[in-house]
Amino acid sequence: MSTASPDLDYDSAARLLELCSAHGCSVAEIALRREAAQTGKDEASLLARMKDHYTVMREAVRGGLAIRAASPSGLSGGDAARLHAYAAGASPLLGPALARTAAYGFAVLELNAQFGRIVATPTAGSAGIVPACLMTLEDTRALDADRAARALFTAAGIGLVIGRRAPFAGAQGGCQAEVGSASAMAAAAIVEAEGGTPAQACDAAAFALMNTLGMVCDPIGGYVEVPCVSRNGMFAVHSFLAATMALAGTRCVVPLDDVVIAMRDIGRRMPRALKETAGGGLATTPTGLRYPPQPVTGKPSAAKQQ
Amino acid sequence: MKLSAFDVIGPVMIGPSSSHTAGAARIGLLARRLLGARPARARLVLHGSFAATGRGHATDRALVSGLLGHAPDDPALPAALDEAAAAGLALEFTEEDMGPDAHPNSVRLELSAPDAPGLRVSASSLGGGVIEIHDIDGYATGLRGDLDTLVCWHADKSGFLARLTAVLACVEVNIATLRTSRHGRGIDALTVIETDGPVPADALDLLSRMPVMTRLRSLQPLP
Repeated sequence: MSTASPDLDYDSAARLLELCSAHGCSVAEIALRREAAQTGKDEASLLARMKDHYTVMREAVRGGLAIRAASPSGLSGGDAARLHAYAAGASPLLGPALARTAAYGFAVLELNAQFGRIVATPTAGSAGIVPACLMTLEDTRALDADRAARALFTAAGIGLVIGRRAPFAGAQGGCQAEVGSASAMAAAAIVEAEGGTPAQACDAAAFALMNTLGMVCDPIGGYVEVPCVSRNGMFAVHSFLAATMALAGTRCVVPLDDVVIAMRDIGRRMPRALKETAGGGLATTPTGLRYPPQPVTGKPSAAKQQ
Repeated sequence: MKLSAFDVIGPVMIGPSSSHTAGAARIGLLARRLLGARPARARLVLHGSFAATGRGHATDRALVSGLLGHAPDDPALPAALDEAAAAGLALEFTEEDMGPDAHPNSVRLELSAPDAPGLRVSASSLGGGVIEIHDIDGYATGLRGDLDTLVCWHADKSGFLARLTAVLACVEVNIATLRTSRHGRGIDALTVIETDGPVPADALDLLSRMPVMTRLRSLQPLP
């Protein structure tokens, strides 16, 4: 660890904000410098790698919008295209950006369900949210790939705060850990892309995560499709709302660090049946039971309580 | 645990699940690299959510895709079972309850190849594609595969680590972490060394000829 400068590391939003203040820079800049210090790689190559990730994200959105066929399970496919077409129609509700943001979130998850190539952000089940938000900023705010790469470092910077104290896996923390984290990361990325302060970015993340608390991971048949596909579209919009609130100067009473602790606590208390086991919730409704999980050994499996 | 920005934004992967697909592919790839050869037989023992929802998440295909040497974003992943059959890799999948303390996404791989000693590896997929190998041939490890790594099977003899680290010092390879575990005093041991950067080939050659070294694998960081 010869080149690491430990003073750039942080395990909380409070410490992250101190670093931003001390260095007079953004969350993205601290996350980038931290990565450079810890890996010994230069910032330009790290930004280039993040830009490559953004390229994969854009391709995933484009690929998903082109899907017309159903997934192997039959549970998803074609809705991203429907939303995209609606957004291009004469009078889409709340303007074209709303339906388009949702369409982008749907698109990545529809592609994911069809064994497409995506970037886990932070997980595959939540991989549509950050790309949907950045693609919408491309449409509406002329965000270019360089600024998108920096916004992804904002998202990573917030993700690191969450990941230090709580899990990202739905199997451990429920959907709040996946979609909640992605939404918090996206909200902060939007804020910094819009020129907001690090404090506003953390408030946006706190709002986004706080309002996903308790969300369980109960997808039908264990497939990453229902409700995951629609949830990625809807929570991309949620991220924009959280960012809007922070940019308007609304402060989140519970700071991000406390929201993360709450998320971890709720995840620990959440029953296993509601943590990616297909053992409860939507998965065990009459509809859900028509799509039983497929165990690897091929034995017939009731969606069992675990 | 210390996360990288690219643990949070990444990996680039074939869907549908970072834990059940990309993590599984990374476990398979790391196991294959530990074996040091293409396996001829593989027994895959699945626990918890890996067992219960594995086929829908392509966990089976992802593990096998890794065993075939593919990265988690290789489009060959969905067809890995067919590829294995064509390549003569015999597969056996079973379920096992590994107990309440086992991570829900856990797997044990028992591998063999004609020209390599057998290998048994226990691993979990922790979420977001991050994995941990808990156990190699019965030795406790905490290997995540993100750094260049040397894995040494060796006799538990005094001076082993002194010689090994001296060679690394000579070629100026910095050690990030080092862990030795053993089956018992003076019996066999396994040492896992993570380094900042790869160990040059001539140093590897020297290390592999150390008298008490039974087997040495040099692993690149996982994609």
